[in-house]
Amino acid sequence: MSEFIRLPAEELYRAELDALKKAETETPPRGWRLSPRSVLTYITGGQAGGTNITPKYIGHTRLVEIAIATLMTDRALLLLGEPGTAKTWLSEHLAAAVCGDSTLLVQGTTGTTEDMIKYGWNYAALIASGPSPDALVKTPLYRAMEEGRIARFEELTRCLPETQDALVSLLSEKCIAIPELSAELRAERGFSLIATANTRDRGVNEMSAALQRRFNIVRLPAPETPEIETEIVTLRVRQLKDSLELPGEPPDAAATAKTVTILRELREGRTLDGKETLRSSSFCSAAEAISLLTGAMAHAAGFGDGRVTDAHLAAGLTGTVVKDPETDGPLWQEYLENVVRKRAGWEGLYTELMKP
Amino acid sequence: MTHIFPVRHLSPRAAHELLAFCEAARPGCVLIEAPGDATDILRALAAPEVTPPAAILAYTDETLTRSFTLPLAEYSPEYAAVRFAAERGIPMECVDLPFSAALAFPPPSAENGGPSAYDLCARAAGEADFDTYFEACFEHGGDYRAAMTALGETLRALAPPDEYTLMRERYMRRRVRAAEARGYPGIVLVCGAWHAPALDGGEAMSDMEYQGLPHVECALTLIPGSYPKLTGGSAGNRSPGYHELLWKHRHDRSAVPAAFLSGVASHLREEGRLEASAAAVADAVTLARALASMRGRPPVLEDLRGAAVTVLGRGRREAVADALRAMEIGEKTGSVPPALWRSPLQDDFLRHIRRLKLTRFLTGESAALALDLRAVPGSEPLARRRSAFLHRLRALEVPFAVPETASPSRELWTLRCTPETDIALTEAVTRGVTVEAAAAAALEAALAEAGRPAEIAGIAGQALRCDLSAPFAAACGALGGAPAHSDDFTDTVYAADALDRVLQTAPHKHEALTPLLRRLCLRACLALPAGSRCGDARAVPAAACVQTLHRLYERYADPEELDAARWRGALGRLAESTEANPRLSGLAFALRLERGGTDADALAEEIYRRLSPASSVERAAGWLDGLASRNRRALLETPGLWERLDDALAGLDEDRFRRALVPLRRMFAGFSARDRRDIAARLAARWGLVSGEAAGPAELSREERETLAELRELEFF
Ligand SMILES: Nc1ncnc2c1ncn2[C@@H]1O[C@H](COP(=O)(O)OP(=O)(O)OP(=O)(O)O)[C@@H](O)[C@H]1O
Ligand SMILES: [Mg+2]
Repeated sequence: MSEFIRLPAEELYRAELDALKKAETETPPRGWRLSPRSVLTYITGGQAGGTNITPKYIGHTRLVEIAIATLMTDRALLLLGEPGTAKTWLSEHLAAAVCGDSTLLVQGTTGTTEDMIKYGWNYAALIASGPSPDALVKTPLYRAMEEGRIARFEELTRCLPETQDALVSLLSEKCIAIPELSAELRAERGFSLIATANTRDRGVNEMSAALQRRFNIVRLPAPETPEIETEIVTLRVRQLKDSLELPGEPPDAAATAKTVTILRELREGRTLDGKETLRSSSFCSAAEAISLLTGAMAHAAGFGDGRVTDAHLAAGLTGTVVKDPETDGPLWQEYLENVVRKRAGWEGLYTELMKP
Repeated sequence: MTHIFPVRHLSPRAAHELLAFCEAARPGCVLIEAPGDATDILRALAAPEVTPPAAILAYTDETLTRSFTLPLAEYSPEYAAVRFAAERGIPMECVDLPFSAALAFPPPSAENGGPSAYDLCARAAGEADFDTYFEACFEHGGDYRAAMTALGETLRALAPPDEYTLMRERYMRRRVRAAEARGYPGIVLVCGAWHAPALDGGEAMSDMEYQGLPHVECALTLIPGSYPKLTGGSAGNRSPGYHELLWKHRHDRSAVPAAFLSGVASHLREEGRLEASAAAVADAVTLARALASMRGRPPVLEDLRGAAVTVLGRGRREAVADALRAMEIGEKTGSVPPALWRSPLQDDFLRHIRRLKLTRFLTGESAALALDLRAVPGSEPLARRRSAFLHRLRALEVPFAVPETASPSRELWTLRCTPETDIALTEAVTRGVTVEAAAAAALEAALAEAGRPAEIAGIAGQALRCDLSAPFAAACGALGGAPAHSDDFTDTVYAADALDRVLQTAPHKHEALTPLLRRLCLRACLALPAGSRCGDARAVPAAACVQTLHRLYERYADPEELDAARWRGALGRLAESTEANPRLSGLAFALRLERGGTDADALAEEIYRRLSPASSVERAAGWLDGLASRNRRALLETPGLWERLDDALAGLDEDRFRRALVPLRRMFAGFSARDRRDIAARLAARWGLVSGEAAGPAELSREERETLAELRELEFF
C-alpha cells in the first residue's frame, strides 16, 4: 500500500495500461498512447494479451464510445450529470488512458480566475527581470497544450461567466496568446479538454452558448439496471474499503440489495418488479449508496460487531433520501408505508426506520 | 433456371440489388415469399393510384378475431419485384403458405426468453441489436448476394427451423416447382435470407400433405399504411423514415449522414432551437464518423443518433427526440383507393351487433335502449356486455350510441346508426382491427395526454365502463406514480374522490380500486401539511378537499392498510398549526370537535387564542369561517363562543373592525335565518337589549343610518 491516500489512475492501473499498450494492434491517433479501441477496453473492461482489465466505468458503453470518439475530433468533451454519476471518475480514467496523465487538472470554483486557466506570472521574477519565459507560470491547461495531453476541468459551471469565457477562445483557436512576450502557444496534437459539471448545482444553462458550442456534451445517467447498480456499488465499496483500509466487514448482499433497491426505486418511481408505480424523490445516485454503505460499515465497526445491520442502514437512509423535508418527507413516508412495510424480509428495516 | 434472391424485408439495399439483378437476369416470372392467396392483392399494389406504405391485412371472422398484417413500403424488395413484373408485363406469383392455412395454426409463441438467432448474430459482431448489425454489414456495401446467403446459413445454424417453418418451405418448393414446370425462361424467387438456403433443392410438399392443409375462412384486404404504423409488430421496421433516406441515396450512401443530420437540425430550427446550425451539423457528422471508425465500419443510424444527441441536443436525448422521430420514422401515410379495401373494424362492429342482439338498431332511426346492469345470478349478463360495447364505441368517438342517464344499476341509451358511423369505423382502423383493441388504444392514447390526477382517474372510470383491463391498469399505474408538485394535496384528493365515484358505480371493481384509493388517501394525508400552508384563494378548494378526505378516511380506513390514527394526528396538527391557513385550522378544529377529539373547554381556549388581539383580524375571521363550516348547530350551543366573539369584536378599532366584516359576513351567511336569530337573541341578552332589536334595525338615528349605508357597501347585510 502506498503512503498516498489516493494515487492517480495511471499509477494505480499502470499494469493494465502497460498490458494494453503491449497488446495494441492498431496505430493510436497522433498524440495518443493507446488506440481508441484499447481506451474503450481500459474503461469498460476486458482482456489484453492475457492480462485482465478491470471495468472502471460500468454500463452505458455507448456513452463511453461517444466520449472517446469526441476526443478523436477537435472538440472538447463535457461530462454532465446528476451528482455521483461518475463524471469525475470517468474523466480521470479517460485522461489516464488517452495520454497517460490524469493530473493536469483545474478545479472550477467561483474563485477561479483567468490566470489559473491560461498562465500567470511569478511576480518576484517579473519585477526583478521583466516578462520572460522564466517568469511565466504555466497552468495545467497550458502544459496540456504544450505537451499534447488531455487537460481536465472539474465543475466547470461553478466558474463565473468571465472565467468561462477565457476558455472559449482557447478552445476555438487551440492557442494561447502571450502578448507580454509577443508569443503564442499553439496546442500540440493530442491536446483536448475534458470538463465535468453537475446538473444539480448550477445548470448547464448558466454556461454561455458560445462555450457550450465548443463542447460535445455527454450526459451520464444513473446505472441502467439494478444488477449493474449492485455490481458498481459492491465493487466500489470493496475497493474503498481496501484502499482506505477501513475496518469492519463489507456489507452483505442483503444490505447492499436493500440500499440499492430503495434508492433506485425512489429515483425511478417504480418498484423493481415494475408492479407498482411510486413517486420519485430527489435524485439518489449509486455514489450515495456507496457512501451510505461505507458509512454504515465504519459505524458497524466502531459501534457494533462489525456486521452491517438494519439499524446501521436506517441511520443513513432517511438523511440520504430526504434532502428537502417539504417535498421528500411525505414521499419517503408514503414509500415506507406502501413498500417497505409490506415487503417480506424487510420488517426489521421498517421497524428501525420508524424509530423516532 | 430459378435464381434464388435472398432479401431482408423492408431493406432498401435488398430492393435496389434485386432490381439490378432482375434488369440483368431478365426473368420470365417473379415469385415472391408472401402468402399464396395474396397474389391478386399484391398485384393491385402496383396500380398507379396506390401509394405505399400499405399493408395486406388478413383476418378471420371468428369470435376471437385473428389477423395478420404484412407491411410494405416503397423500399420493400417485394414492392420492387411487383413493380418490375408489372412494368415488364411478366407474371408474378406469391408462393408462401396462404393466409387461409396460416391463420389456422397457433400464432408463433412469443420468444422463449433467450436471445434469438438474430440477437446472437448481432452480439457476435459486437453490435447492440440486429438492426444495427444488418445495417453495418449489409446495408451499405459489399457483395450483397453472397453475404446474404451466408447470413441465411448462419441464422439457420444458430436456430434450426421449427416444424411449421419446414412445412412452409415444403409448400414453397411445391409452388416453385409448379412454376418451373410452366417453362418460364428464367425465374427470380424473392425470399427472406432465412429461407434461401432451404429453397435451393429439397423435398416439395406431397399431394397428400397439400390436400390435408387446414383451411379457415378469412378476408383479405389492402389497407393504407403509415410510417408510424410500420414501426410496430414483428414484421415492421423501426425506422421507416431513415430507410426511405437510404433508398433515396441508394446510389451513393456517403451522403446519408449529412442528409440525416441536417434533416434533424432543420426540424430543431423549426422548433425554434437555432443553435442547430450548419456548423453544428458538420460537427455532428464528424462525430458520427469518428464513432463508426472505432468499429471500422461506415456510420449507421445508431452513430447518427449518438451524434445528434451529443452535438445537436447538447447531450439531451429528449431535446432531439421529436426531431429524431420525424427523421427516423416520419409521418408519411400511404393511400389505397377505397374500392380496394374494406375495414375489418366494420366487420367486427357488425359481428358484435349481431351477437349482442342489437340488429334492430341498424335501421337509421333513433331508438332507446335501457340496460339493467344488476347482476342476475345464473344468467348471462347481456346487458353488461352491451354496455361495455357501447362505451367502447364512445371511447372510439364512433357516433352510434349516446348515454342519456346512467346509474350503477341502470343505463339509458339512444342508439342511431348513420353513414357517419361507418366513416368513423373506417377511420378508426388505424387504432386497431377490432373494436376492443381500437378502444383500448384510444384510451391509452388519451392517458398519454392526460396530466391531472383527476383526469387520469376519469380515464380509469371510462376503462372500467368499457371493460378494458389494460388501459384500466395503465391508468391506475399512472395515478400511483403521479409526479410530486405544489398542488399535491388538492390534486390527490380530487383523484381519490374521482376514483371513489368510479367505485360507487362499479362495486365489483372493489378489489382493484380500494388499495389504490387507500394509497391516494395516505398520500393526501402526508401532503396535507405542505398543502395547508397556502393563501386564502387556495384555502377554499383546500378546505373542500379536507372535508372530502375526511369522508374518504371514514369510508376506507382499515387497521392494516390505512391508518385512521394517522389522519386524526394530521387533523390535530392542522388544528393547532399557526403556519397553516387559519381557515383550514378552523375546519380541522371543527372536525375534531365532531369526532370528540376535543371538547368545549378546549374550543373556548382556542377561540381565545385565535381571536386574541395579537393575531390579525383576517386570520381570526378566516379561522372562524373554517370552524363554522361544519356542525353549525353544535357551535351555537358552545358555551362562551359568542360572548368571546363579542368581546373580541368590541375590542377592535374601526379599521380592524371593517377588515373583519367581509369574512364575518361570509361566515354568518352559512347559518340559517333561524340560527342567525338565535345568535342575535343571545347577544341581545348580553347587551341588555330586547330580543329582536339586535336581529335587525328598528328605528335608527341618522348617524346610525349613515354608518349602515357604509356597511352596506361592505355587503355586510
Ligand atoms: N456507472 C458507474 N460505474 C462505476 N462507478 C460508478 C458508476 N456510477 C457511479 N460510480 C461511482 O460513484 C462514485 C462517485 O463518482 P464521482 O465522484 O465521479 O461522481 P461525480 O459525477 O463526479 O459527482 P459530483 O457531481 O458530485 O462531482 C465513484 O466512486 C464511482 O466509482
Ligand atoms: Mg465530480
